[in-house]
Amino acid sequence: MVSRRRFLEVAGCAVPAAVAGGFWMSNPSRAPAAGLTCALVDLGADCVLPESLRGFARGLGAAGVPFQSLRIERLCEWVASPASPLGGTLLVAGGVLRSPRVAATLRATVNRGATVLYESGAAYTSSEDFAKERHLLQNHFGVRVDGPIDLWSPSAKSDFVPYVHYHWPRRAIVRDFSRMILVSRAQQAFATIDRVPVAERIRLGAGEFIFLGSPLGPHLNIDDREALVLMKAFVSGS
Amino acid sequence: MKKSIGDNMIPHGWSFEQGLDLIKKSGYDGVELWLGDVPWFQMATTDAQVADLLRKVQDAGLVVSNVSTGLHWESPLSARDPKVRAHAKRIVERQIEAAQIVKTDAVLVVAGLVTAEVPYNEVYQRCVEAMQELGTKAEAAKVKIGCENCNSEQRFLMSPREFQTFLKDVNHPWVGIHLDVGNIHDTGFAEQWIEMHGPNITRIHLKDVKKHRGRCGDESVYTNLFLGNNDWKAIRAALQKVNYDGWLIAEMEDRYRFAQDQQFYDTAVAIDRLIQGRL
Repeated sequence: MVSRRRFLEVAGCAVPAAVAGGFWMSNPSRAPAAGLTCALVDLGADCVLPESLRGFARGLGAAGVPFQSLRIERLCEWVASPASPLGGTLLVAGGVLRSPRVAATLRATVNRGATVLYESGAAYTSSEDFAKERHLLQNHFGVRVDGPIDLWSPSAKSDFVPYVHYHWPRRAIVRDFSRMILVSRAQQAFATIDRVPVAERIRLGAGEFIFLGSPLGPHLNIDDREALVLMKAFVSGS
Repeated sequence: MKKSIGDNMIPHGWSFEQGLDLIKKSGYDGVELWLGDVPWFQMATTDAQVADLLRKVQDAGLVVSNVSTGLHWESPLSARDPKVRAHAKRIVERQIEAAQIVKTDAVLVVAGLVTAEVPYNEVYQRCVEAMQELGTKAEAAKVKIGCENCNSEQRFLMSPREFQTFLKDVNHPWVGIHLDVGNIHDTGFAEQWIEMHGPNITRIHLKDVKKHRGRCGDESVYTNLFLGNNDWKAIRAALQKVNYDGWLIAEMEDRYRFAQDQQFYDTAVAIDRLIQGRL
């Protein structure tokens, strides 16, 4: 079992206030408000858009959101502990899901009450890796994806508007990031490019899984206002 | 000041040695080597082969003024794809390695490319981050990186003050500006760029510009020295004002259609007159 003290030691802490408030504390009744519990997960080699990870860290800092930086190995250890109640928001930036263990860990986190926002960077990996992600997304989260589509390739539709329209958790317009992953048969799509859904939220167990098929983090890295407002809304759950 | 010209100006079909011989005979002190633009200097060219290029340059009685490349137009440091950015950084690293081998202390880099796809703010941020990282490598090698002002072609860092802010944000003493006095077109005045950037100028590219002529068919906006709209007297005065005593490197886009070697001679004489103030 990983103790809370050990967890806080290994997880690192970007903002001291986050430790003071505690993220996924062993006593959930002492947990701070949902908007104050947030962790940014570094997938290591499976983070294919490090720029996006930096963007989320930058955006959280700019928004004054207390958060903890957390390596995926530590999350796996933590989730393996049956006594660890979970909650809050977990941000997974620029990733590619190619490890069943990582997918299972994220699913377990959702089951136990966390909101996991998974931003896919799989459009920037090989077709083999994308196929692995597609398989794991469907099997663990019920998210069906297609693509990826290179919006700017010469053969692409020439008159598309290069913006993602979000209508949840608040209305926002953010630039595309050249390649997108489509969600198909989505029950709760909440963002589109040219009316094509690229993001979906799914309630699972006690928590929620949010899939972003068009990267948001790189726009946070350049202080895009709309992206920042949107990220704050994701974190605060409004 | 010393005169140089790019090896990418060597007429097609000529060997490197023939080109060096022409460069020497027409009165230049050095040659600018263009990584990726000429058959004898590619990314796959080995260290030993680069050393052999230096030997040929020295045998011709020349030195290498700097190492440039056009490869970043295809693989920009500002690309969204991390793999493309990694390759772009590798190109700069190879330039730095080659610069050490050929015993020069400056490389030219086209730092970023604003397009409809990749907007200005992204390009700016990625280029600052890339230059900070590459600046450290340049410092270790004692080779300066000069980011070229390709104003209209890059649609990036369009004004001298904007470029100054960029260099301040990069904040690395081994990253400066490779100033091209022709690239400013009608967005400003070369002499003002020289004044503002003075000690941060690593090298200077020389060509003239027809400010009111666009790119149309085979018509270039650039032209030979003294044929265009640059104010060469003002440029010379600004160079004196900032005590620039480095390389002046000829970079012609528009080539002579006949007697191509004559362009080397004519340009060398024009640079001599610029240096001597016989304008």
